[in-house]
Amino acid sequence: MIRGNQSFQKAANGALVMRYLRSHAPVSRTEIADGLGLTKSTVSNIVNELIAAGLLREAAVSGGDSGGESTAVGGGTQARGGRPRRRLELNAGSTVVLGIDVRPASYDAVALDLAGHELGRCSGGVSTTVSSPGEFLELLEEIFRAARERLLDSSAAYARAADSHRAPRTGPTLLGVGFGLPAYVDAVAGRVVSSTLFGVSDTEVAAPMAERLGIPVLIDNDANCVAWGELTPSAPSCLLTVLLRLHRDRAGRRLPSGAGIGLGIVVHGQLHYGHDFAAGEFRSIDWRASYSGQLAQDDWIPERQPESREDAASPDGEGVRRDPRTAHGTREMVRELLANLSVPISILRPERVAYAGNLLEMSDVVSAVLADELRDRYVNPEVSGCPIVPARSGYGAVAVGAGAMFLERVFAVPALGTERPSAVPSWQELLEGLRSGAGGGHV
Amino acid sequence: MSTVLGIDLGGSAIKWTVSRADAEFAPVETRPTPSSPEEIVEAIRGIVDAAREPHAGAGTDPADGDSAAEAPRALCLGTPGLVDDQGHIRGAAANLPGWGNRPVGEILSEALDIPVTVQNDTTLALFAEYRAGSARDARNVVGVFIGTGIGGGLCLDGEVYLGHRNLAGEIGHVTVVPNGAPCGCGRRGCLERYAAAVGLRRVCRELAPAYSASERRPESPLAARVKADPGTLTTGEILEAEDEGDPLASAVIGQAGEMMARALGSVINTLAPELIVFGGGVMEGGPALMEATRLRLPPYVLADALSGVSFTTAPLGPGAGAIGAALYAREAWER
Repeated sequence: MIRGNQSFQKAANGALVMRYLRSHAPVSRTEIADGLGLTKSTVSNIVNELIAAGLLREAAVSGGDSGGESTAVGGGTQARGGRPRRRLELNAGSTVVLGIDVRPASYDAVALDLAGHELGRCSGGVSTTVSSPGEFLELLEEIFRAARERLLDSSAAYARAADSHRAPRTGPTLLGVGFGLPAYVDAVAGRVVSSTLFGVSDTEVAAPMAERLGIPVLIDNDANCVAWGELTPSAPSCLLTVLLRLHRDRAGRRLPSGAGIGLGIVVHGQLHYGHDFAAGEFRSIDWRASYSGQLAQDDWIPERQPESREDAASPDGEGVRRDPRTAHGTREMVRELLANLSVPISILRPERVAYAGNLLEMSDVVSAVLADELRDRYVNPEVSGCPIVPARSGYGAVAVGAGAMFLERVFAVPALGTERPSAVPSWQELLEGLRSGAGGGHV
Repeated sequence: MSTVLGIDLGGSAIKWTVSRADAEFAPVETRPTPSSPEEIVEAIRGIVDAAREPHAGAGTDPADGDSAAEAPRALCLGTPGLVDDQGHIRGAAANLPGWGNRPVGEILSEALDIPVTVQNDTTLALFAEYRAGSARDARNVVGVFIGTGIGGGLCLDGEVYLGHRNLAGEIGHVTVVPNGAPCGCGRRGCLERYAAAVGLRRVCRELAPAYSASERRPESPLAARVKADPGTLTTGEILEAEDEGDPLASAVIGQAGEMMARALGSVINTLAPELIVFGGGVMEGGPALMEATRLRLPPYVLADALSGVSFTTAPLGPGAGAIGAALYAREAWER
C-alpha cells in the first residue's frame, strides 16, 4: 500500500520514469527530466534505484568525446563538447510476467517481457475438475505450473529472451502472473464475485494464489483483459472490445451455460468497471424470429467447435466451419451480436471496436454482416464509421491482455482517489524484492 | 472570476444565463427560437450584446460592484445534433431545419467577438446535473433527456465522457423495434418514434380506437379527446391523463417505457452506472415515463447491474442546458 506523501511521490515518479522509457527508450537522464518536468537529481536517484533493481540498464555507447553538435552514436548521445550521455532503456529481458487465459477445459498462456513484448505463448488442456473454491484455486495453480514449465522452464522462450536482450545468466525474474477469468471479478479486491462456468462465487483468488505461487497475482474478467491488451501507449482513449466464447468441456461437448459474451470498455484511457465492477455485460434486446432467443443459447453451433487456433487449423475444425448448419447459425449469431452492439457503440462512440475469442474464426462473416446490416442501424455516418477489427493479439488476446494488465497495474502512476489492487506490490516492495532476488523468483 | 455566458438553443426556445462565479447563475432567460439559421445567429448576437450591457447578469452579488457589470469573456452554445470536437454539427439537428451539417463553432466565432465553444445540448444538461444538480455525488451517470427528440449524456469515472470526436450519447435513434415505425432519420423503429414527445402523440393516436367505448368498458376520456381533435393533442394532455388513471394514457406511457427499457437496458448492462437522470421537456409533466421504464427494465438488465442503479428526475429542470453551457464555458475559458 502507498503511505505518506514521500512514498506516494516516489512511487509516482518511479512509475512515470518507467512508463516514459516504455514509449521513448533509449533516452538519456536529461531527456527524461525534460520530458517529465522532473529535476535531473530526482531522475538520477530514481534511475539508479531502477538499475539496481535490474529494471533499467544503460545502453552500450560507442565513440569518444568530441566537440560539436549532439549526435546519436550507437546507443549514446554525445553532448556538445562533453562526455557521451549514457542512454537508458528497459532491461526488458531481466523480468517476465505471465498472462493466462483460463477456460473450463483449456488455457492459453503468454510470457511478456518488461516492455510488454511477447516472448512466447502456449496452450493446453486441464485435468482438474472444479466443484469448490479450493478446487478452483488448484486448477489455477495447475495451469500456472504447466504454463511456466512450457514457457519459462524449458529453454526455448527464455533463450529467445536471452538472445535478444542479453539477459543475465541467472535468468529473468518472474515478476508475477495475471489471470483472465470467465467470471464476474472484483479486480481491485482480487475476488471472483461469481463464475457460472466454474460454479464458484464470492471467492478470494489473488491473495491465496499469491501465497500458493510465491509471486504477485492479479486477476480480471477475460473480456476486460482483451481491453487491457489493446491499451498500448498509442491506443485511443475510448475503445470497446468484444469477446465471444463458445465454451466446451474437455470432451468437446457444449456446456449448459452456452456462449459467453463480454465487453471491455476503455474510457478516458482507462478500463471502465462501472458500479461494483458490473460493467461490460451483454444481453440481446433484439433477436430474430428465425431461431430461438438469445445468442447465448448457441445450440445451432455443432459441438467440437474449435476453441484455439490449433484446433481451428485441424481437419476437424475445418469440417465444423464448413457445416451448412454452422454457417447459418454463425451468421445469425454474428448478426444478432452486431445488431445489439449498435446500442453501446451509439452511446459510447469508441474510436474502434476490437473483437476476440471465437469471433476471430468468424471474421469473414463479421465483415459481411457489417457491410449489409450494421450500417443501417446508425443514424449518422460519423458514428457508423467506427471500425470493428480483430484484436491486436488475435487468439492470444485474453492471455496477452492478462499479462499487460499485470504490467499496467504494477507500473501504474498512483493517483489520489483511485483504487489500487491490494495484490499489487508497493513501489518499495517491488524494488526491494527485485534487488534481493525475492520479488518473484528466478526462472 | 470571469463572467461567462451559457446559451441553450432548442427547437422552440433559446435559454441563456450569465455566470459570474462558479455555481452562481443569473436567472435563466428565454426567447423564442427564430426559424432560419441566419436569424438564430442574429438572436445569439443579440443575447451576447445584451449580456455586455452594464448590470447584465448582475444581482448574484451586488457587493462586487464593478465586476458585476463585466462583459462575458466566453460563450458556450448548446445545440441539438451531434457536435464534433470542432463545433461542427454532423448530420441534421432535430427540430432546427437548416441548422445541421454546419460548422456552427466557426460561424459563431466569426460573427461574435468572443471565444465560442459549441457542445451537444444534452451533454451540457447532464454536465449541469453532474456539477450542480442531482448527480453531484455519482461517478458514473447516464442522462436521458426526452423532449421533441431524445438525447443522451454520459459522465464516466468522474468525468464528462464525449467519445471519439465528441460523438457519444446518441440514444434517440437506437433501433428498439426492427422494421418498426419509420423515423425522420430515414431508418425504422428508432427509440424517438415511441418515447419522445412526437412519438407519444403518434402512439396515442394509433392506440385511441382500441380504447373507445365497448361492452366491457367505457370509453377512455383521452380516447374521446383524441377522436374529437387528434391534431391538437399535446404531450402534456397524455401525461395528465396518465396521472388520472386513463387506460389509453397508461398504455401509451407503458409502451414508451418498454422501448426506453430496451435501449437503457443495454446501456446499463454495458456501463453499470450508479445513476440515471431523466430530464427534458416530457419529464416536466411528471415522472410517469421514468417509472414505466424502471418497471420494465428487469428482463433486459442483468441483476448485478440493475441492483446498483438509481433513477432520478433532473432537478435543474428546463434551465439545465443553459446552466451546463455556462459551466462548460467557464471550464473551457479557464483551460
